[in-house]
Amino acid sequence: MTWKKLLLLGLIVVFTASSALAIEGGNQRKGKHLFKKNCKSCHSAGGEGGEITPMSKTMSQWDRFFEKQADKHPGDVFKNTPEKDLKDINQFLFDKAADSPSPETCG
Amino acid sequence: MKKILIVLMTALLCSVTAYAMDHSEFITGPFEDASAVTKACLECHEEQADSFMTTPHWTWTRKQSVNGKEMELGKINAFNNFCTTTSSNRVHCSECHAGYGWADESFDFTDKTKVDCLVCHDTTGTYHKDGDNSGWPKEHVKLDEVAQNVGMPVRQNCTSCHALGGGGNNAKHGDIGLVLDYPDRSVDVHMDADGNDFQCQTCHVTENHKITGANMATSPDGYNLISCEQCHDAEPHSESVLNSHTRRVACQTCHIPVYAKEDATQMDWDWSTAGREEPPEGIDGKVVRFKRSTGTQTWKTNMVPSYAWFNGKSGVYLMGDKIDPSTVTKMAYPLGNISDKTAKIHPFKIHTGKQVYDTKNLYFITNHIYGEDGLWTTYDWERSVKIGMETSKLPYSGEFGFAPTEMYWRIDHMVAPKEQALGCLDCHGDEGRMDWAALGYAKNPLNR
Ligand code: HEC
Repeated sequence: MTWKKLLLLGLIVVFTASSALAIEGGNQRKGKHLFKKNCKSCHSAGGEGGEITPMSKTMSQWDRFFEKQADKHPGDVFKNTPEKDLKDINQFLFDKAADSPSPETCG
Repeated sequence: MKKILIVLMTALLCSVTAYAMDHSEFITGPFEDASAVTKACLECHEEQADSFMTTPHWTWTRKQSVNGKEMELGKINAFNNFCTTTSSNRVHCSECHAGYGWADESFDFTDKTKVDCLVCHDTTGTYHKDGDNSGWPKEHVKLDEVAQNVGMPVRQNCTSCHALGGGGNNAKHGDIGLVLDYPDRSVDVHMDADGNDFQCQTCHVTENHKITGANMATSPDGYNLISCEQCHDAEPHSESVLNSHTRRVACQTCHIPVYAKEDATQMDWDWSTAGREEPPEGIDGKVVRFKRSTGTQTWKTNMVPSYAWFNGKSGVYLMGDKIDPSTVTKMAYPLGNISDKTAKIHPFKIHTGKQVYDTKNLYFITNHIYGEDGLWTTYDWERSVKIGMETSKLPYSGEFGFAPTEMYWRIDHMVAPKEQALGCLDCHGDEGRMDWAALGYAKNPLNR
C-alpha cells in the first residue's frame, strides 16, 4: 500500500468516525419548543446574546458548540437545563442548521 | 367547573400510570424489524391489538350512512381535495397507516404483527415513518430505544400524521399544525404547553383504542362527535346575551377568531398546472408555490374562517358521482341550514382547487401520482390517469380536463384566550365578518 492510499484510508476512517458522532436520538420537535423557551429570551434580535437561529451555524458547528463550548456560555442556562432538554435543543438546531436538508430561520 | 376538575384529575391519573410503566425492564431487543417490536408488544397486549384492528386507524374504512345510503367509507375510498385518492398510491399514503407493509390489495388486515404500535406510543420523538415504503419506519430509527420508551400518546404522536397530511405542515386542516406540538396559550388555551397542556385524548376521549371525533370527509355521519359541552356548561358565560347565542352559534365561532396561527395552511391546490416545465405566472414561492409534480398551491397564515350552518353531519363527493364541470363541486360540505334547529353557525376552512376529471363520463379521475409510473415521476397525465383508473376500476373515456372543487374543513382547534374572542361588532357591525344573506337571514339579525 502506498502512502497515498494509506492517507486516503485514514481520511475515510476519520471522516466516517466524525460523521458518526453527529447528534442523534434527540427529539427535534420538542427541541424547537425548548429553544424558544430557554434560549430566545436572550437570543432574539436586539437581545443581550444577539440573534441566534438554527441557520446561524452549520450542523457540525452546532454539535461542536454543544460538545465543547457550552460550558463557557455566560450565565447558568446550560448548567440549569437538564441534559435531555439540551440534547433535544441540539437536535433541533442540528436538523435545521444552515447546511441541513431543511434549514429553518425561525425558532 | 366540576366537570373540568374531573377531566383534569383523570388526565393526571392516566399520565401518572403511563409514566410509571417503565418498559425497559422487559423490552430488550435488538429487533430485526419493526414487526418484531410488535411481536414483543403482543406478548402482553394481544387484546389491545384486537380492539385496535377494528378501528379506522387500521381499517381506513367504516360502515356508515353517507349521502342517504349505507356504505363503507374511509380513507380507503374517499376523495379529497389534496392528493385526491389513495387507491393506486398506497405505498406513499401508507406512511400514515398505523401498520406495516400496506402496498397493495394483498395486505393482510388480520395480521396482528403488522400493527404499528410505535407511531402512537413512541415517547422519544425519534420514530419516523417513510413516505416511500408502505408505512415501515425509516432505517435510522433505533427500534430498541423507541420500544423501551413507549407510553401514552402525546400531541406530537398525533400531529406526526394529522398535522402533516396533504403535502406538508398544516396543509389540510388549517387548525392542526406542528405548532400544536408545544403551543403557547396564544395559539391554543387548552393545549398551552406551559399551562393546561391538554393532550389530544383529553377531549378526544379514547377507550380500547377507539378515539372519538369526526372528520367531515371520512365520518360524514358525524359518528362519535365530540363537543365543548363535555367539559363546559351549555350556558358558560356570565352575560345572558352571550348565553342566548349558544343555541344557534357554535362555541368555536367566537372563540377561534383565526386559524393557521404560526404555520401557513394550504388554501388552494390547482392540479392543472402540474407537469409543466415552466412555472405559470404569479408564483412567489411563499404564498403561491409551484412544483412540476404537484402544480400550483396557495398557502396562507392567520386566516379568518368562513361560516356556515352545521348540524354535525356532512355531504361528500363519492367516487363515480357525476359533476357539472362549469360549477364548483364540493368534495365535503356541512349539512344544516337556518331552519334546521339542530344546526349552529360553525367556522370552516374552505380549501379550493382544480382536479382532473373525465370529460365524457363527467366524474373525477382517481389519478395515479406516486411511484415510478406515477405523475410525480413521469409528469405524464395521459399515462398516470390511465393507470389510476385501471386500479380503481372506474371506466375511463380517454379524455380528461380540469374542473373546480372546494372542500370544507371544520375549525375546532386553536381556541384563543378569551380576551381575543369575537365581540358583538365583529359579526354584527357594519364591517362584520358574517355573510348574513348567505346564512339565510334577511338582514343583520341585530337590527330587528
Ligand atoms: C441569560 C441570557 C442568555 C440565555 C438564556 C442564553 N444565552 Fe446564549 N449567549 C448569551 C450571551 C450574553 C452570549 C455571548 C454573546 C457574545 O459573546 O456576543 C451568548 C452566546 C451564545 C452562543 C455563541 C454565539 C456564537 O456566535 O457562537 C450560542 C451558540 C448560544 N449563546 C446559544 C444559546 C442556547 C442554545 C441557549 C439556550 C439553551 C442560550 N444560548 C441561552 C446569553 C444567553
